[in-house]
Amino acid sequence: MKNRLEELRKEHGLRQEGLADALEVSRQTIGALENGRYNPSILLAFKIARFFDMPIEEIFIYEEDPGNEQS
Amino acid sequence: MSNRKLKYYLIQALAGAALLVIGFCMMRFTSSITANFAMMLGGTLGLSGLIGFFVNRSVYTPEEKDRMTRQESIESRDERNIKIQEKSAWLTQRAMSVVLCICVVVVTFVLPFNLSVIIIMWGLLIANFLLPYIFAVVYAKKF
Repeated sequence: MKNRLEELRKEHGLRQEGLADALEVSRQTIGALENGRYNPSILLAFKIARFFDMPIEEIFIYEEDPGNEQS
Repeated sequence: MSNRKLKYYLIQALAGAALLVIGFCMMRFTSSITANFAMMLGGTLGLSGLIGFFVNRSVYTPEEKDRMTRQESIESRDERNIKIQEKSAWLTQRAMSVVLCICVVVVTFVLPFNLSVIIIMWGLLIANFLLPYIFAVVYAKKF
């Protein structure tokens, strides 16, 4: 699953620490999300969507390729 | 304690150490009183700098304490951290199962152990394989 988190964060002029504080997660989680190493839970995905005031599907792009699916 | 203040203590400790070395070298070329004074001053400076550094490193302002408490709370609830802990616990359980199997084989067939030890080890091995299934059944009903 791809996401536009880094792009949106930069658009809002935020640092990883700032976004992590706002979402109440660690900075490492934000880094892992941006690099595509970690897929968020549905709760965190909703939190992110609400924070950027956008629908989830505009932030997270689901690609139907089970071979490349990351846990 | 801010990093800037800690830096001063570290500089003081380094200056003390340098003075100590200078005093030690001076002993060969100049009067022993000057060298002793330099060494004494260097030792005092270095030691007080080191003590100051380590003592002040453990002192935090209320704001720093609040920030650290909040950060700790976030880290403990962070979903990625929880997943990492779960995965490492699962891997540890797998590795320990192998170790337990080896131990059971050793106490049963290789080394002459007391029967009660062998029974306890077999009990642990059976529990190790049964408990995950029992918990899975319990949690399957819960969620």
